[in-house]
Amino acid sequence: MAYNVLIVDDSRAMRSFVRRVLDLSGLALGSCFEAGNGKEALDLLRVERVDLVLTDLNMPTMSGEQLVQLLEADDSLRSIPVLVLSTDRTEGRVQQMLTLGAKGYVTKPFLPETLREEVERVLGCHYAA
Amino acid sequence: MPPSDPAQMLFDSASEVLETMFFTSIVGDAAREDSGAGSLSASLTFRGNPSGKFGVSLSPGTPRSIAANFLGLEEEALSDAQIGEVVCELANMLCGSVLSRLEKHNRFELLQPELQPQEVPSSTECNRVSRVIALEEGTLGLWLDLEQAV
Repeated sequence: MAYNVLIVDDSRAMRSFVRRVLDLSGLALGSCFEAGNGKEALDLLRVERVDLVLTDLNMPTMSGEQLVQLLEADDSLRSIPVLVLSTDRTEGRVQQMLTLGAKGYVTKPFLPETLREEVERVLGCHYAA
Repeated sequence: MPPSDPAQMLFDSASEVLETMFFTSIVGDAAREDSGAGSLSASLTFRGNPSGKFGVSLSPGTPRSIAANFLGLEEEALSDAQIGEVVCELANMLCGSVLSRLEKHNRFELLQPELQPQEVPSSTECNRVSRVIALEEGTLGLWLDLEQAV
């Protein structure tokens, strides 16, 4: 199965970095979509099949936190796993995002292997069997 | 509670961020910052407790080298826009790392990093901590302005 992934970050450089890590990871990737904020991500998720969302938190127009909340509230999108990638490593923030519905949280900076392992964990848990 | 040695905090953050995601090694402290044509600076404002500003300055040639490492591209293939975006992302990540060392429990809001035409002067209302670090490619200057408690 090839996974379609959506990378959400207001930094084009960061989106390129994440895409490169995924390309080199050996994961079976299908389409790799990109969005610059939560609003763009939601618009895309309503028209494309996406198996995993990787999102930053601090973005203009719509934050990653708002995106996770809206996905959780949407019956047709709630099943898509979300992995947060953020510079914010305060203890309360990580727990808050997991409570809101994120399936994982990777703090920047991260090693490429760390991201790959976390993506594999989330996809493995979600799509096993 | 501010750390006892904020300058060391800047060094530790630079080491963590550069070596993890920019595949760039730190040589040690630099005696002074190399500036001039080709150097590039970026800064951002953060809000929280405390609020303040954070910035970086890279010596000539260094921004292109770091951007190539980060994006996995040849230096010659990079546009100025790509280099600027990577330097802004570097500033963003370094700021996040520094603030997490400064305050483990307080949350901060980081505004969009912006490229700066020249070094940002320290405000009279702020305490500035700075450090210049030698990289294999050149130098990286970091500064942190913390607003003084009223």
